Amino acid sequence: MLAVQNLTKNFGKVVAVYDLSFEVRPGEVFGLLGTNGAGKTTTMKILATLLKPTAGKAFVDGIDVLKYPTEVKRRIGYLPETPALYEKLTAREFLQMLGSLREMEPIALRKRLGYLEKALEMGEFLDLEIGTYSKGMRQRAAFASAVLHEPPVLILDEPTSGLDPRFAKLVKGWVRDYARGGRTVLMSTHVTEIAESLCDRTAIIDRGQIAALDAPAALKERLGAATLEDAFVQLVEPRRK
Amino acid sequence: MPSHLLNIVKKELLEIFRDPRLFIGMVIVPILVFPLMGFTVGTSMEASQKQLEQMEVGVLSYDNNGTLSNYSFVLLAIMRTQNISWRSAPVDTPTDGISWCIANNLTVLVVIPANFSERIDTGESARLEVFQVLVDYGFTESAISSRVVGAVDTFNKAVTASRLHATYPGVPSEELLVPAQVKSQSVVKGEIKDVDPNTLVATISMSSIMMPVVIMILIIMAAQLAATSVAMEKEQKTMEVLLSLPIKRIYILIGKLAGVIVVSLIATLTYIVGFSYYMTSITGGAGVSLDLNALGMSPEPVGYAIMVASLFLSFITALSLAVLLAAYTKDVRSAQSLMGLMYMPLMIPTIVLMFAPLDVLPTSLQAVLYAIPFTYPILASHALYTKEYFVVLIGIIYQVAFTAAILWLATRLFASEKVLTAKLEFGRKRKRIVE
Repeated sequence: MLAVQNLTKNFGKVVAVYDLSFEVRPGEVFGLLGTNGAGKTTTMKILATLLKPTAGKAFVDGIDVLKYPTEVKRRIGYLPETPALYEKLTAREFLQMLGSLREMEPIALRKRLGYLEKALEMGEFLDLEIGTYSKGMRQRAAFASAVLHEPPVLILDEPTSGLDPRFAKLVKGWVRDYARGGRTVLMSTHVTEIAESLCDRTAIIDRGQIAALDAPAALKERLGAATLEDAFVQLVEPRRK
Repeated sequence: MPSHLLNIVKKELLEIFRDPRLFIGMVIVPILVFPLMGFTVGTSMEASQKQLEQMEVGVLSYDNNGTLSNYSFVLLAIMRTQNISWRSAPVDTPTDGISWCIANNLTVLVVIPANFSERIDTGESARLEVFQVLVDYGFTESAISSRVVGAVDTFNKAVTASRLHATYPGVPSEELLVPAQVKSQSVVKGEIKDVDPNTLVATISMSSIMMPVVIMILIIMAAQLAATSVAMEKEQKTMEVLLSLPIKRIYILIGKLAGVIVVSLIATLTYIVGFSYYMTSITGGAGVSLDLNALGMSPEPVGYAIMVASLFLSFITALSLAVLLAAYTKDVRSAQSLMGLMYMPLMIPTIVLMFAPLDVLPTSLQAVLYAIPFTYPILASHALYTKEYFVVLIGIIYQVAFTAAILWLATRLFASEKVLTAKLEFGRKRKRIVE
């Protein structure tokens, strides 16, 4: 599981996240829905141990991210917003390097690579230099890097960004199945349809704070909105005035 | 875990060697361009030499109404012995003679005056006129007139010797011509070396000048490579991937440095091979005119060891500084701009010590140079010949302390979130957006 308690993060005078609290349970896909600059990525980077909170606490699998960052890193798979890949390596070399650095057994790593190659349809480009990839290929290679070691907690920042509808559907199905296996998935998106179709619960986050948190259907019902998009606008718009 | 380190180093090497710009710049250029430059320079020097060897001049002689007699005949004979062939200009005035030379592709006209032999016979000085047609103001043209002047010099010595023989029969002409001879010898560390000081200094300063320049180029290239590597990780966000892995952050730093060091060592080797070939090509293998071994002055193994140690520490210092600076930038372009700050401390010792030894400089400049860690490999290259190692050894201790401090700072930076959030930019300011 994953928990955030009264989390605040400042960058100088800029308050990126303020007094944020939520929990993600095992088997759940939890979405952070917000506009650009809402604080989604900052929250995820704190959970991925890349940033340190100014105040508050964050736990992954019950482990404090500030106190035991290495233990937390063992338990998470992190997909950054922009696919971060080494242009001069092939996807196979990149994934093998990550597997070795995560101390995966060579046989298990080979098996897992074979599985991901098929599941994400990467066979055509797995041995080509990443610099030659299209946006969709890059996103799939990055996604494979996050789930390579089958972590109990997945932190996905805009996982379907750059994917065509077919692969976006494939990844969504994959994420849902991954969580159903008892794992925890935290994902961010600014696309309401994705949050509605994929997330068990969603936190609408605006200007570093949670505006609402519930299942998409419950949020719509509570606000009397036909779609999550309408509910989102109803919640966020008054805060702009 | 050493395996973590090896994986990072392997990744660094793959990235560097698959980047054609880096591979061409660090390996292909020195191994190909230096020999090519050497071949080109060597070929042009050879062509120039051939041109000088087959030199032909025009001669306009007024001596004894144009009849070659006595001294003018001797002068022209001496020119022939020195491979300067000549043709008589069939004209009356020097101006026409010059036009005739140009028309016949001759670059020099020697005008022998009417009373040339007569004046020399009576002990007076005769004045020859030499006109040289200049076309490209190149190196060969300056050597052409020197050859003619050299032939006249030989003529003068021959005439003087024949005159002296009349007064001192039986005395060898060399002794008559040079009554007081000079034999310059060098004293090195109280020991007399049978070699002219100018020759010795020229030989040693050749390597004392070239080595620091090569050292500076290599350190700049390595630092640039390290800075680019770190800045690229930040620009492409791959630093986030590395930092999200359960490995110690110091491995990421050391792995990066180790990868650049391996490439720099390969680049050093290619530079040495390429540069040696270049020097051999332009000097025909006779660049070093002295056998320092025979004089007992060749560098000692301990000298080389000290230099390698000092050079290695300089590499580490430069790379750590480069990584530290680049980690504060946003992208490759900003990192490369920031690297300009590092070039000054690298270039100052190289340039200053190329022209003057440290101890003759003003105290303030000495202090500045002693404070710069990149001064010591240059002092070490001088110490190869002076064998004065004390200052260099103290310098190595200073380099170790300096490098340790920089590495510590770099480690601290990598352990903090600043390695991701620091975004120093040059020339443009953007509003920061936090997501």
